[in-house]
Amino acid sequence: MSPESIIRRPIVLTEKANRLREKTNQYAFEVARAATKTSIKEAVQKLFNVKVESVNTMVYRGKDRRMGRGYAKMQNWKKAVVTLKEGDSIDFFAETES
Amino acid sequence: MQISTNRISPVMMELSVEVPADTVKTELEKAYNTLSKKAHVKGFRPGKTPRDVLRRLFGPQVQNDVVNSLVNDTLPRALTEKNLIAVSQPVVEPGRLEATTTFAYKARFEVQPDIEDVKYEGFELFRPKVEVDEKAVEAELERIRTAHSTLKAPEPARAAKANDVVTLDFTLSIDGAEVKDGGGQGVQIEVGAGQALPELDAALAGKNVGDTFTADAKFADDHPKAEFRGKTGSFKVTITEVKEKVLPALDDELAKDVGNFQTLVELRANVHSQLEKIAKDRSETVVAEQIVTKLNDNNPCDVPPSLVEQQARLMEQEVAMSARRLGQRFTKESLEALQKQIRVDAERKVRAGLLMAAIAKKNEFKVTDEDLEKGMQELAAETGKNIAKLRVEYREKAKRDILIGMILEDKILDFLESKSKIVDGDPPKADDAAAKEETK
Repeated sequence: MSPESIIRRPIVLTEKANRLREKTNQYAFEVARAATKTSIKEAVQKLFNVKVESVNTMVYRGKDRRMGRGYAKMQNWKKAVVTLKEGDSIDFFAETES
Repeated sequence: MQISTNRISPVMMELSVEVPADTVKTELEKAYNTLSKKAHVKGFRPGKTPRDVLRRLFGPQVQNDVVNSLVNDTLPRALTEKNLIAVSQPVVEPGRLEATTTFAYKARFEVQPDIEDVKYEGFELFRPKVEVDEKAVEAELERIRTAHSTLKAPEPARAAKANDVVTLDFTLSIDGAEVKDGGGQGVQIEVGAGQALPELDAALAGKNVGDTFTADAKFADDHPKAEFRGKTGSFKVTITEVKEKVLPALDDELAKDVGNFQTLVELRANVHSQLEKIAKDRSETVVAEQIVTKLNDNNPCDVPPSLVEQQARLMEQEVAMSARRLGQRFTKESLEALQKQIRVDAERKVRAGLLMAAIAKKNEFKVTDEDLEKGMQELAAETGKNIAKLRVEYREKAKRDILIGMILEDKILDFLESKSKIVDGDPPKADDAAAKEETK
């Protein structure tokens, strides 16, 4: 799997992600279900040019959404919280701005 | 706060203001604090959005707000500090706003020019004589008689002639087709007074009660109704009444009818004094206009365009109002010419006003309480209002200021008149003056 397909999107605009980033230099991403901690580590290091210390992953259960009379289950998805080496950082806004 | 001024032209000022860094910082801080409480950003509870996220999302908007509030806050203070009065809305050119440095901006606005030296002595002014012609009095009395005339059917009945009032029913057709709502019943027309279309008016003379006839009349090319323009209308008229005007005799009875008079002598005296007053007012106006012209000619100075604009707009409104009252309409060309003329007049008026203000300042004219009292008494005599009521009315500041302005203007005009050579007689024709100006 290519790094681009492993890292789906960064999770930036939430209070929790914000807190992790500021306090412990951790960054959150939505990643592919099939991605492993090792592959995530490699992908982040390659894409953002930083050193990754550790990766925690978790699978979020898809929520039930109403579709007319019945319910539809949203896809399960995997979140990865990546701890960077001290001093490294990723500026998500800089990329979107230019 | 650092302020420096730069006079671009006699009526234009540029003010450069530098706001210290800590003021900028607190102002920015304040703006973000209030914003953070109100802003709803997805992913964050209200008030929990971090500062840098807010800055990314709302930065330009907050910057604008802060610039505005800084300018609104500091500009009036800068103006008072430098003792300047802006007569136009300042145009602000803001510099860059950053949280850590000073914020500088430039404001450009119009000011009243510094007029130090006004030439106002030795003007040659013409004062038209105040005379009331006995003929004018007679004419006015005649007008009063006509206004109090009664209508009466002539005995014996005769054909209508000029100045008779004819009552008629009519229908109107254009191009052979009758115009709906184009007719009328019991319409009163004074023969020969130009109340009807000329052809119709002419046809009325010599007609008797009960006569029915048809008259063709052409409508004007600029008739308000488009379908009538330039068309020839055929009026079918039936005369129902012919009445002549009976003028009341010029005697004491008429005087009593007119109003508060007992005898004709009193009425005549009143007419005389009123005409005299009109003539006197006109003569004063002529003198005042000459002063304005002379001041303008002798003291060329720049005037703030915005003041001229204001004055011109006021004058335009007046003209438009009187035109509407008289039922005049303007073509595009005449309107443009008029606007141009108004601009010129407005500039003269504004300049004269500024010059007079400068004169008043130099000679330290002041309106005292006695002047006010005298002015109010005059006003009471003019309007017939109770003096005590007026006193209460003019306790209001805005109204009082207007009165003070009027009195001050009178005083300055009197002063200028006393410094001028006054020649009795009509001023030389305006055409000559205009011709002279052209040769210049």
